[in-house]
Amino acid sequence: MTLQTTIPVTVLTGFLGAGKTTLLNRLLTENHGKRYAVIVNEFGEIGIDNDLVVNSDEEIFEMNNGCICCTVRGDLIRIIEGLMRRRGQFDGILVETTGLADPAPVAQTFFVDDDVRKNTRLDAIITIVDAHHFMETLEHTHEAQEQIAFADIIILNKTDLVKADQLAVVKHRIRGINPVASIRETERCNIELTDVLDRNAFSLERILEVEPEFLNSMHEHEHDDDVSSLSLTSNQPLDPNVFLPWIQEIVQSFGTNILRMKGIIEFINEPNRFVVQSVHMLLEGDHQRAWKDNEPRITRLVFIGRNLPRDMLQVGFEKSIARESATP
Amino acid sequence: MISLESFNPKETVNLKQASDSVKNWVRHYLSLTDDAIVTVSEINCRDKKCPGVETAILIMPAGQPTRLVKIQRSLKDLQFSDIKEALQ
Repeated sequence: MTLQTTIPVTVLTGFLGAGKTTLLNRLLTENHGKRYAVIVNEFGEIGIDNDLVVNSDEEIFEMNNGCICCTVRGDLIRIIEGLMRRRGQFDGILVETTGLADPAPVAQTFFVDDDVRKNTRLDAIITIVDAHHFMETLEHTHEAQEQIAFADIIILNKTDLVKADQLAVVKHRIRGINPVASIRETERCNIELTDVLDRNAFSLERILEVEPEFLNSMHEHEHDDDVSSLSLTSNQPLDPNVFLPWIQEIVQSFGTNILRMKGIIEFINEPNRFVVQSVHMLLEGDHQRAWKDNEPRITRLVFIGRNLPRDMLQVGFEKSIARESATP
Repeated sequence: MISLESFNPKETVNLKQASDSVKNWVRHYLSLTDDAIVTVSEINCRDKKCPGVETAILIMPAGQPTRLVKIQRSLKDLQFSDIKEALQ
């Protein structure tokens, strides 16, 4: 599913002051062996003169009648098309979003069209969090919750400014919103850039490699956050003829509120794992590698969203469990 | 909403062909130059605010504003006459 000829695109989100500019400056100035084209927003503070830094003026198109899951960024389509004419001059693209931006239109842009997808692949959505101000930001802005919810990788920055017990509370709160993102703790964004760039974190093949805890037993996190998660598991295989139509129906019917979904599925009489993920109503799924002999065959599906229809999801998932016995 | 990887590979191939045809029709009808960008997306949103299956076309001529055209038909059912009518 991953084409190595495509240019990896990393989307960088995070609130003002979290550390986005610090990370971008490092990306553009340090000798890390790769060149990145950086698309910065109109309010960006990048002070570096670099011909690979492109300013964007957010141009949002509602492809349908206004729900957020049908919006894309027209400015990004134009800029990326222009960058593709300079192929060979850079190894990847990084898109900075404004602190208050909803990441959905940016992520959806990379799935809008076959030609856009042929040239680029969404590598990861990275959200930078200011550990010191996170709890306060979370209380006052729903965008902060959405940025956490959408992330594949969370850089928990400024950890030196909080005590260990405060940091534990912040991490617990983050996990309550997004149990599947990889969390990297940093001070002044002092992370190896290769740890977060070109990681293929968005790829179906890497869903679980990025965050091995995904397979471990997870418990529900209960908070007052608008955005929360629901993890569904089964030790018995699912019936693809029931599950696939059901999951497509679910993301189409509730995709406005389901921000992300990730899952690894065991289908009955199928030697390969099936992996699935969605961003709002964008859904992709594919057969992956074979289950290993010593690997627990556990199906796990995680929904992250707002006002999740928990009972409906639970019942539908249970109905997908295969009624017949697997063929030996 | 926007059709992604279909679980049915054959269907994906059909949609790709339909998408290419629509792009060619749009380019031909509007006499677009090579530097213009055209994207085609089939959208099937069940949000109450949205009308169901339709095809959204973004037309981005160089140096000109982007135009969004929406046709209430699925991508594979579109004909050249639908494109002409929508672009007039």
